[in-house]
Amino acid sequence: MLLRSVGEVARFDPVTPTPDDLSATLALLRIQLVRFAQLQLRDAQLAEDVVSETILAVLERPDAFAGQSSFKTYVIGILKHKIIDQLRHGAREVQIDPLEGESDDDAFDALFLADGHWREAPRDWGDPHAACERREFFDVLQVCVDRLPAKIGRIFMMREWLELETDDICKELAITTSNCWVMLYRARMRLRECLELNWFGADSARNRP
Amino acid sequence: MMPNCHEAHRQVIESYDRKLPLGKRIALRLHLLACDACTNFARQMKLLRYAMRHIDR
Repeated sequence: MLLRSVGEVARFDPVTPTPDDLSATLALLRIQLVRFAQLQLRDAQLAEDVVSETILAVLERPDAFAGQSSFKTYVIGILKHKIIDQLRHGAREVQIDPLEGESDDDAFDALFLADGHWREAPRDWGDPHAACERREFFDVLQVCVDRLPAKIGRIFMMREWLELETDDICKELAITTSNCWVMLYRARMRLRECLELNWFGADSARNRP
Repeated sequence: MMPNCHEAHRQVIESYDRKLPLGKRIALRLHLLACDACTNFARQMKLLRYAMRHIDR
């Protein structure tokens, strides 16, 4: 196969490179780093910048990853730190609109009958490990996260990818905790719907012959 | 008081972003023990968290 599929590039995980092939390895990893930075920052230029800083940091300390189990995990760890710095310093420019996604709330309420029961019971998605063994699943998940409204997507990525505490996210973004919870609720409900439609559902690509 | 499904699904999500008070946690557990639909929902949310923790692997 001459062309690598998007999924293959996305799952590319080099063994610890020698200093000689470090730059070639980083060039390949860069595609993925930019994708994650973009999902978090929602700004192409900021994403490029923060990835460049990450790569520079790796190149400046070529021996620092010795002994780490995965070079990719090591580099992504640095990327996350750089992004958290970026979020802190750029925090004043982030305007969070608590109304973003508000129109969804009626749709979520409509999942339930007046007596509080599910209109349609949620289905069994099976074992998390099994889903996560398919690289196509992560392609679908990334598309679903990318489709979230920008601010909701940023907050969700801060919580679930950067693994920040909700209180810290609220502080960084200068929004109330209840707004924060509402945004995370909308993110989780939208992603559930997107995954159901595009991966777990009977008519999704996964289940088509 | 045990929550209904509408309340329970919100509490499941809340539990991912803050610690629920003990009484609510017990009531939610009791609801989940009796309700397959909400148990599936809770598992979906668990899968979502697990997947996000592995999205960059």
